[in-house]
Amino acid sequence: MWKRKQQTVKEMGLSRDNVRILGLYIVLLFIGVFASIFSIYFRSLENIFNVIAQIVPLGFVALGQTIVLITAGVDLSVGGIVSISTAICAKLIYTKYTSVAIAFLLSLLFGTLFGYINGVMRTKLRIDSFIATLCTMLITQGVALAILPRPGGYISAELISFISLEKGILRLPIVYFAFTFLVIYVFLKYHPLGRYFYAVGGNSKAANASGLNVDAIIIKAHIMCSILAAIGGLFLVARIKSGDPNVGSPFVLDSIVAVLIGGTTFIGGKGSIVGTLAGVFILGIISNVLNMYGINPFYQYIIKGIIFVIAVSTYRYKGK
Amino acid sequence: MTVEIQANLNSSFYKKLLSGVLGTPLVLMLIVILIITGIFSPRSLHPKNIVAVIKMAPVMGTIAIGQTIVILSGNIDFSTGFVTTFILTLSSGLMNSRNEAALWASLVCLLVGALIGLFNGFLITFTGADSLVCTLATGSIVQGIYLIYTKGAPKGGIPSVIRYIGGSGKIAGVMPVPILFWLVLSLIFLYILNKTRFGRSIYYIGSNPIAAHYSGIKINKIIILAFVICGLTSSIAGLLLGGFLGVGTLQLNVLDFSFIPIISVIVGGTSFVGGIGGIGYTILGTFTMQYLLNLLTILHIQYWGKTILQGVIIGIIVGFNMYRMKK
Repeated sequence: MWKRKQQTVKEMGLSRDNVRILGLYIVLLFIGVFASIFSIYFRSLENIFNVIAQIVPLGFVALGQTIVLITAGVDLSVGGIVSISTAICAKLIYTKYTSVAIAFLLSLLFGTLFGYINGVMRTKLRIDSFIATLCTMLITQGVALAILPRPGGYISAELISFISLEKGILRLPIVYFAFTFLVIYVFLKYHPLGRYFYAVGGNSKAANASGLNVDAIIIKAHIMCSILAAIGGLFLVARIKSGDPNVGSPFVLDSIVAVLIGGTTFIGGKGSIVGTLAGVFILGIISNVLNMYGINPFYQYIIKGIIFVIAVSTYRYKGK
Repeated sequence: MTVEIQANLNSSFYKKLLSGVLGTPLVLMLIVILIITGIFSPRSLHPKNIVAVIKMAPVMGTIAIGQTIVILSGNIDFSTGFVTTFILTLSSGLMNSRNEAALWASLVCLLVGALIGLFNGFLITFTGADSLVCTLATGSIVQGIYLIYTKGAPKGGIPSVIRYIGGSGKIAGVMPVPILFWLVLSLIFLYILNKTRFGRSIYYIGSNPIAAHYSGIKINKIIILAFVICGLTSSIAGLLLGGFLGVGTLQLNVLDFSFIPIISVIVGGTSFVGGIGGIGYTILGTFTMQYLLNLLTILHIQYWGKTILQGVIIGIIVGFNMYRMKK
């Protein structure tokens, strides 16, 4: 009996991971339905779009984090890179379009640079990615503070209209995010480099033996992650309309929690951004619901930690 | 015969220890830092000033004791800063400047610290996930707890007994009590690490967990115990910090109390790989780190410069260790 059941599950193309992701979306739906039943404000169309627009910065960072976790690494420097992006924008942008372009380019350049440093430390120096990115976490934090010592600055209306236009139902950040999501989904699924990420994460020795340049692939993964974090920072700065050198620090744990909820593991070689999206949504909706009910925001720290514990406990990694 | 061998062993041990201490680049580094300090500000080499600089050393050094044990076992504890801040506010609230409450409140604080360590240990050993991210999550939980407990504004005060131990006290008019307290605690843990079954197991697990497993060491138990000790020392540091400041506060940079002990440990020569290093090196590392931070202040380097430099120091030391190992 159970054999036949298993077979049908296989025929439907549902692996264990896909079942997990399906389960996540069901959980998400339940949270949404319950929140809608108990709160009039939550179920308004405006709030639902707000929730989606709010999660866009975290969404970008989590996409990058997923890529690095697939290659069996982790990036703790994303928070600092988000902070650098907001600091640069607040410092450089006045009203002219030219400086907007320069600020964007500089942010992306810093992202690329630190991604490259992360990748090189991990591959050439053979430093564990946790320690390597811990080190760049401090450096990026310092750079953000050097650019903008205290929160402040002013973001021009042009930037806001360029990346976070809100007109009626249209929310530009959501459009950008959906587009990026699709591109990365296709990239990870069909592009050779995307497949190599999985190969390197699953078994780097085997990947090396079959002729892949493992070091270059890992460096590329870290650069992609950091650039996505920098883009997340740009969307954040358009939302908070000001710069803050410390605004990125919660993104480190948040992005890792979102990715872990989505079924990507520290072991590497496994995972998908569809799961990550569910993780980001769950974090976003929980935070929105808590705000709706006027619950002390300090509880969010505890709830995030508990979600992490649950997400990480659903896997038993091999003992060290 | 046996006595002779024992004596030989002992003398070689002390010789090794002596050459080890003098031969480490650390002492050289400390001397260089002091010379540069002397060049830029000759007055700061006055003995009184030398003692004043290391006022924060007991707090950072006490956290570093537990951190050393955790790092020796091949893990890392990122939650120390959050535990220290939590205990600082908790002790201030519980004691409320009453000397008679100091004893039981301290015991409660130590228990809380040990429980957080126990939670860390269980989380890491049962899931097998990386300790850095697990303790980051624990740190988030602890941060939530102390923010809710204090409602953002810590109350109470630290009684004079704790202030004597952690701050103002002096023995024979010269030796500050907190520094003595820290050094005695370090010696106790030096003994535990080198002479007890638990201490040797930490080294075995750090250098080769698989071999340790097959030689019958209960790895999970030892690692949980290491994290409990780290939680305990972090909470002792919280009490010392309370004695030093005299009041519970949330104004301090929490991450400093996570990062500076970690850097002190690895500056001392304890490796992230596990199994290499010890408490003795951490004492030296803590001194070096405090004088380095002091030098940066003398050179008018801003907070951001210090932050970047901390990252660069970690990178250089770990990179150098890895390069040496590859050779």
